[in-house]
This record gives sequence, structure tokens and C-alpha cells, in this order.
Amino acid sequence: MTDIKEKIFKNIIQVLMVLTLSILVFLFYFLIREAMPLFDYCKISDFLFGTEWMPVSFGNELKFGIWYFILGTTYVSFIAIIFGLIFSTGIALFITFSLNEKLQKYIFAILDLISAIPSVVFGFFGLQVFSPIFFKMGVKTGNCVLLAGIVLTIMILPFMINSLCMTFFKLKKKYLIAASNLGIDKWYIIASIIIPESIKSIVLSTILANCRAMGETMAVMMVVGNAKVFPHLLGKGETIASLIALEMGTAIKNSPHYHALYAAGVVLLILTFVINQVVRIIGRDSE
Amino acid sequence: MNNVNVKIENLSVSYDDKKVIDNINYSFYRNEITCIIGASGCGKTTLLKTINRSIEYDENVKTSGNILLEENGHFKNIYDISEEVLRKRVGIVSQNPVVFPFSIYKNLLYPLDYYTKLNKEEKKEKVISVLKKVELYDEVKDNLDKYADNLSGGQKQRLCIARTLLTEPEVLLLDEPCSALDIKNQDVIEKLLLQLKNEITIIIVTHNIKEAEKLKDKIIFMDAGKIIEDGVDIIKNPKSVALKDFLNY
Repeated sequence: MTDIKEKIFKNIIQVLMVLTLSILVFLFYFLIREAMPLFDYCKISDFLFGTEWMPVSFGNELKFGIWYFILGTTYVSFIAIIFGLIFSTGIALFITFSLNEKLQKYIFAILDLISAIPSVVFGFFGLQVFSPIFFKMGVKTGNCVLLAGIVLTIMILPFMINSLCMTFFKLKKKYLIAASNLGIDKWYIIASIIIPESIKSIVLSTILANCRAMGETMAVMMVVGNAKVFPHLLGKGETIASLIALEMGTAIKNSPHYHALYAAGVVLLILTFVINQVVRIIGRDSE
Repeated sequence: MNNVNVKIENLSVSYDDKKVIDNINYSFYRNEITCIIGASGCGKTTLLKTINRSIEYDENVKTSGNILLEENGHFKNIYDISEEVLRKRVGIVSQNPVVFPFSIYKNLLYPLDYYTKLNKEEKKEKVISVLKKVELYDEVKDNLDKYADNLSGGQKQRLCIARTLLTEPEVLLLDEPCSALDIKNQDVIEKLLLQLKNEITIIIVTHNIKEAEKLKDKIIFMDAGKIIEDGVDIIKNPKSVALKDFLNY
């Protein structure tokens, strides 16, 4: 009886696995199918490295260069990941090693609350709290790449902190008492055992946070400035996700503009994959 | 009396208001092995963990009374010594050995890197000497750079004892160090402890009466958080009903 149950369970899991992979393959196929007709109008190199985006002609030549959007996406995500890594590691260490169990519970409840906040609220938060500060610092309209990075950092922090805390708690339980019993200082143990042992988890949480960061649309769109220019830290920029969200509604179906937005989606997917691989390699090397 | 190394005065420990140690007074002497025996839950391990304050890792623990550690002819309350310094002076080896996620060699270097400014060669000498002391050197000399987690239970236990010895403790606390070991490994550790007592004070919690008999200079029998009997021959001549019951007399 147990054997039959196990077999049924195994088969269900296998079917679900195949289904998940099929969805992924289908998604990719669908994106590529919708994107391919674009290349009847422009070359792949012009699309990837072109700096002009003129999807509607008004008598001029159509241009679909997404280089600035690629840069904008990478720039904003990079800022969020770097800030996210620094703050989440610090906060997770503080929660794990300096707070008592009762306070830890409160903090986790607050983190869960923050992760449930819709991204548009973070956008408003960025606009109301940080944007005026950047405006006072001389950034026109207050919206810029750095602000988008900061808002994105706040959004990915709860997830990163939660995932790092889980690892730190496990390692704390395993090694802290044993090492402290040698009379060794807590922070030395953290630096010499806990952090090096957490590298895998840090990489994994960075990869997952990066997926969220690269694809985040609404909050970033509200604070990044949405200008089709070379992105500067304190200047405006635009991400691929913002581009698609802003223009998909106005693109005529099966027009070059429509296909270009799908092609941008493919690039976003590949970009996410490439950056995740880079993070994985860096993590493996630092182990 | 001059040889007293650890003096316990009116010590009580409770977890969530449940008394685990009940007003204990006792002195542990230098160059002696004191074995603590008693049924599970009688407070043996709690007593051990209180002596080096590792009890404080547990939640909701309350302690009262004094534990005094001899220092240059005077006694100093362990609560007036920083936790780090105390744990260096009073090392503890637990029942389940925890090796760090490094190589065998790096596990042993760990306390040396933290405490000493010895050069590479001097550190290596110390590591080899302590490995020989715990009779592990011949078994691992060709695998010092291998991951310590791959060692057997007995080897891990000896590695952990070696690592603790590198901090040069004055008092060594051992919580059932041989409970998961085969006879060969037990013998090695017992032989080592008998050697070590010439240098330090050893307090060992054990369930193994034969082991206690073999190692003891003194034996303490604990029951319900109290020291019921203590002395050299309490196993052969038990006086209390509790100890007789424990020994199935």
C-alpha cells in the first residue's frame, strides 16, 4: 500500500515538474515567436546596441535600439543588489546574533508585513520621501537611477533578510556555542565561520533578489524618470520592464513596435539569466 | 585546601522556575579528576555548563550563588570574569563533538590564530604535538588538509579535545565524552585524561560507572539537583538509598 502511495506521489511530482518546465519553455517560445518579426525591420545588433528608440515613424525611420534600457535595467538592479547585500547581511546578522527571541519574532512579523506591501506603494514612498531630497540635491524632478535603486533595495530587503536569517540561525545553532566554548569572541566567529559558510546562501538569495529586481516594474517606473537617455546615477533612465509597461498599451498589435517590446522582454529574460550566472560564478569562486 | 581550583558556593540553577541545581556547595581540586554521576536529568550537565557559563546560551535560565575560580592564590567569582576569558580558562568538551567546517589542520589552528602570535612553524609544532597527545596524529598525518567532518565519531571527539587543549585551559569540563565511542577510542581518551590531570583540573560527567571508577580521584553522585554523596569509594561503599538504587545494589 505504501509502495503504491509512493509511486503515485512520485508520478504526480514528475508530472508537475514536466509541467513547470513546459510552461517555462512555452513562455520563452511565445516571447521569441512574437519578437522575431521585428528583425525584418532592424538588425539584431542595431536592436541590442542602438541608442535610439523611435517606435512610431511620423514620416521618420523607425528605430528600436534598446541599449540604454539594458544599461538602465542593469544599473538599477546592480545598485539594488549591492545595497541589498550590504544591508541585508548587516541586518540579518544583527537579528540573529544580537536580538533575543521575542524581538526576533516582532522583526520577522514586520518584515512579512513589508513584503506584502504592493510595489506601487513603494513607488509613492519613493516619490514622497526620497524624491524631494534628491530634488534639493539638484536632481531635476528628483527622480533618478539612484532613487530607483534605493526603492528597489527597500523592496528586496525583506526577502533577502529572511533568507539570510534562516542560514545564520542554522549556522549559529551548529557552530556558535562550540566556538564560544573556546573563549572566542562572537564577531570573530561570525567573520571566520558564519559568513564564509553562508556564501552559498548569500549567492542564492542574491540571485532570487536579482530576479525580482530585474523584473520590478511599477515602483521603478514611478521614480526612475523614464527618459530614453544614457542612464546616470543622479540622472534619469529607463528600464526594460518600465519600457514594456509604459508602451505595450499603445502599441498596435503585430506592428514593429509591438514586436520590439516582445524582443525587449526576451532580452530582459536573458539578461536576468546572465547576471544570475555571473553571481553564481562569483559565489563559487569566493567559496 | 590550597589546591582548590574551583569552589562552588550555594549554587542554584533553574529553568523556567524549575530548580535543576539546588543549593550546591563543592570544591574541585587541581590535578584531580572528579567524576559526576547520576541519573538523567539530575543536573550533572547543568552543573558543568554553569561552571564555564555556557549555560547562558539557554533561554530562561536563572542562577544564584557563587562559583569561584582560583587566580594567583585568590578566588575570583566567574561572573566578574569576562565570558571569553572564562571559557578560555575553563574549556568544555561536549558529548557531541562539533568540528568546524574546515580541514583538520585548520580546526586546530583556529584557537591558535585567535590567541597567539606564533609563526607558521611554531603553530604547526603545537598542532602536531597536541595531535600526538590525543593519539590522533598517526591516523590523520597524511590527511591534515582533508575536511574534518569526514572523521569518525571517535576521531572528531579527540580532535575537539585537542582543539580545546590548544587554548591551554586550567580546568577541563567533559560532558560524557566517551558515550558514543567504541572501546578503543574510550581507552585512548581515558588514558589521555589520566595524563592531563597532571597539568589541569578535570571534571567529567559520565553515565559509565566503570569509566568513573577508572578515572576518579573523586566521584560525586547527584540526584534531583543535589550532591547526595561524594568521595573516593562511593561506588564500592554507597551510603545513601538513592545511590544504592542508582547502582542497583
